[in-house]
Amino acid sequence: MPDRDDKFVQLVRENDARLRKICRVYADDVEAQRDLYQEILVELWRSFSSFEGNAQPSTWLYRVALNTALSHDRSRAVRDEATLDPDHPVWADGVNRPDERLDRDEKLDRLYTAIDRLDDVDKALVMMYLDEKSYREMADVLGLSESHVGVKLHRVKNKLASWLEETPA
Amino acid sequence: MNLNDAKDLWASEQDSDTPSMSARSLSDDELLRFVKEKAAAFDRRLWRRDLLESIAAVAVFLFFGWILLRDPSWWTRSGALLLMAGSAYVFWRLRRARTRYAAPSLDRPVAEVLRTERTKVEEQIQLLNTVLWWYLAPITLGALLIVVGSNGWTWRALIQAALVLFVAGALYLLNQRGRRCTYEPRREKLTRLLEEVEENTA
Repeated sequence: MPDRDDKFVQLVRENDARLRKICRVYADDVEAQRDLYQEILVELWRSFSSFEGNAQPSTWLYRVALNTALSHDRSRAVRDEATLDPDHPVWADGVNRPDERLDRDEKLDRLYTAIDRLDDVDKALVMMYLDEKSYREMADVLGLSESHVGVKLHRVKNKLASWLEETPA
Repeated sequence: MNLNDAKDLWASEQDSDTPSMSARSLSDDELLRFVKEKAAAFDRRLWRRDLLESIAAVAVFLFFGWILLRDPSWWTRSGALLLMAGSAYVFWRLRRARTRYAAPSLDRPVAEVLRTERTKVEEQIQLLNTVLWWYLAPITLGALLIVVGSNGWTWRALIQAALVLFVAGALYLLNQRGRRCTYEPRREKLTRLLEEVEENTA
C-alpha cells in the first residue's frame, strides 16, 4: 500500500470518533448521519493532497468536515455520488447499527440535545471547545480572530451551561 | 450536568468500543477503495458534463453552419448565423460562470468557504435573472428567422413560430423557478451562516 494511503487510513482511524460526533451534531437521523459520514470521508480524500505536511491534522480535518457538514444540503449531486447502498456489506456485515448506539447513553443524549439548540456555527465552536481545542485552532478552522472566538465562545458556553443544568424532562 | 461533566462525557465517547456507522466497520482496503471509487466517480461526472456540453455546442455549430452555407434564403441564413453566434456565446458564458470563481476548497477556513460559495451562487442567480437576454433571445430570434425562411409568411410559419415562442417561454419559466426554488434559498442559507460566523460580538 503506498505511503499516502497509509497516512490517510491512519488519519481517518485516529479521528473516527471525532467524525462521528460531527455527523451526529449536523445530521438528524441515522441515514443522514451515514450519508454525511461517507461524504466527509470522500471530501477528506479529495482534499488530502493539500493536507500532507503543511497543516495541523485536527485543524485540517475540522475544516473539511465542518465545511462538508455545513454544505450538506447544497451539494445533493455530490452526496448522491458519495452514498453507498445502505445494504452494502461494508456497512451491514456484523456491524451494530447506529440506532442501537445512539440511545445508549442518556447523558450524552442530553448533551447532543443541548448542542442541537445552538445555531450551526456555534455548534462547531462548542464541539471544538469540548474537544479541548485552543482559541488559535478554533480561529484557524472558522476563519475568525482569536478575540472574536473568545467572545463568541463565552456567550455559547453560558447558553450551553444553562441548558445542561435544566432538569431533564 | 456542568460544562466539565460535558467535556468528560464528550471525551469518553471516543473510547467507546462499540462499532457503529464508521470506518471502524471497514478494513483498510475497503476504506481506500470506497473513497477512491467515489472520488473518481465524482471527477468522471464533471468530465462527462463538460464533454457533453462541448459536443452539443460543436454539433449545433456544425449543423447551422451547414444550413448557412447551403440554404438560399437570407432569412434562414441570418437565423443560422444568429443561432451559431448565440450558441457559441452561451457555451462561453456558461464556462466562464463556472471558472470565474474557483470552487471553494473545503480545507480552507469556514468563513472563506462560505463567502466563496455565496459569490458563486450569486453569479448563478445573476445568470438566471438575465437568461432571457443572453440565452433565450438570440436563440429564439434565430429559430424564428429560420421558420420564416423555410415557410415564408404562411399559417404554417405562424404555428411553428408560436411553438418556438411557447418552448422559449417554458424554458424561461423553468429557469426562473430554478432561481427561486434552488439558488435563492441557498443564498439565504449561506448568508445566514456567514452572519452567524461574522456576527458582531462586541
